[in-house]
Amino acid sequence: MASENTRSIKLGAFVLVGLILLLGGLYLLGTKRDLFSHTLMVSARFTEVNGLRTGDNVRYAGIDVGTVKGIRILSDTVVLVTMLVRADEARHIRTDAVARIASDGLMGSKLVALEAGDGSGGPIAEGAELHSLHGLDTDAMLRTLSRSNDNLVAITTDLRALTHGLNAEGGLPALFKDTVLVQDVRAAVADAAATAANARDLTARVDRLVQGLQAGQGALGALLADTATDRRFRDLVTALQQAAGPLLHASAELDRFTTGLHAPGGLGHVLVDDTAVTQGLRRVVANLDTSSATLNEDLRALQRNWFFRRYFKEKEKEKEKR
Amino acid sequence: MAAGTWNDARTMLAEIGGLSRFTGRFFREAFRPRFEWGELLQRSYVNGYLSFPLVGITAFIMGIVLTVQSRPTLARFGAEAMLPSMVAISVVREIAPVITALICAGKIGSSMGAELGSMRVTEQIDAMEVSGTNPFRYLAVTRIWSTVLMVPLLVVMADAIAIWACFIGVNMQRSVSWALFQQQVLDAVVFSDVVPALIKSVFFGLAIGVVGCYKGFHTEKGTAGVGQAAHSAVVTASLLVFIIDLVAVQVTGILGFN
Repeated sequence: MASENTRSIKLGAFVLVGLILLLGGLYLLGTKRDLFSHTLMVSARFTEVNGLRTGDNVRYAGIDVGTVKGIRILSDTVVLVTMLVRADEARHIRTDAVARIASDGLMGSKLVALEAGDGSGGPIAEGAELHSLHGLDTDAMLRTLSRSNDNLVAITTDLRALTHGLNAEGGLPALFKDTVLVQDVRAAVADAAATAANARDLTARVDRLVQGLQAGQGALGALLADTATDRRFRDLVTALQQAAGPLLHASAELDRFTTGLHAPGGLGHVLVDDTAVTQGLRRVVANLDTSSATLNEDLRALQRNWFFRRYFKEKEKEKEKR
Repeated sequence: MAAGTWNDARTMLAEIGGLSRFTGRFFREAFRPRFEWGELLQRSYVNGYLSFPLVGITAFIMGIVLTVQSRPTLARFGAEAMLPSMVAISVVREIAPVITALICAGKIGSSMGAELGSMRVTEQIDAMEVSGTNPFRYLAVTRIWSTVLMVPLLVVMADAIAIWACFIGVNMQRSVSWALFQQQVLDAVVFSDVVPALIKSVFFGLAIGVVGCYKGFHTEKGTAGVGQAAHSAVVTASLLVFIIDLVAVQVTGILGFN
């Protein structure tokens, strides 16, 4: 009987331990899935969920605050994701928070990451719908990585060609080994040092010169330091300023005259732009030319006239005498 | 040759038919009062409590071996941190139920076949019938109930021990706190891993009990038949464990638990 009791106790302990393990494990799993805590149900709409599954985590500020409750397709471009967020953590999440599909590491499962907005909204309530954002697409990342790799290959190829060229005969290492070049460089450096010394000396001289001028030394210094010269110069400037008034007036008058000359009806305008007057003047000049030629001819005839011949001969004799 | 194959096929079909009828009879008798509580506790003690050391040691070794063997593969992908998650899921979903069921098939199935077979060849079962006691209710129903109840319990314990062994295995090469380890395991394991495994282990227990009792009840040819009954019980129960596991995988896949 005692043996049977012992067996019953052992069996009872065995069953108890097994049940504790089972119920404890189920409780821990349930706690992890928010089965025994007060939660709020919120939702967000996405164009795609990238393999998100029911039960995946909801993360806010890097902390798991809930789980995905359900995923439902609403239309060809809208997927509704409902989430259970623990009430304790939900009071810190604002309605302007943004949900996006993220990944738990490169190989980890998907999750919904909630990112804080500008804090303008109030705490989320039951049934709140959050704004959503496109998450990082692994395929897009891999495509970018592939392009980066291509670029890297091109860069390393160019770099290899460059280093190959530098290492080739006559390249940069050869320059380093060229003793003549080294001597030239040393000489150039020495020249540069001498030039710098000269420049320093020149600067010192200029400095001394300026100091001498400021102290009134030399002719230029005396001129600069002479107060009488300065006064005469000021008087000259004042006289020039006084003379500038009449000059300006004369200039204005001259300007008015030339303006009138070139104005329509003015002499300049008539002479330059009035073609009728121009043609008339040309005719007058032509007539004058003709008349002078005729007059010249008449005068020659007059010289040969017996009545005036004696007068012209006496005129020639006086000219010869002079 | 053809006649021998036909005879083998007939024998196999007869076994399946007899096993099915035996299972049907168990379900008819299993829920009828009056229960043999004393015998049930006795069988549970033998099949459950006394099997625990063997199951526990095996689970511990499996947990460590699985952890140590998986580490290099995961390390190649830089995913060594996923070791607790991977081992926990493997243990809970598959390793612990199947290993426990196979151990029980070997230990419990053979003992049932041999014990009941001995009672059959020594005509103790016939004597019980003559004395008005229902030997099926007293011997078979209690044993089958005990395996149905104890195998899932052993599976839960094997889960716990294997995961604990995994923690030791992980800490053999790098340091991971129990809190972090527990967090990683709980992150990875979900109800859809635990519940199908428990349901599966109930069927494992049912198969082990039914096969052990059936083989014992149908022992023939004297003491030589006792050994054959024990041997046959182990082989058939182990085969059934794998068949049930295969069906369970398909069913859980169809129900979307995989």
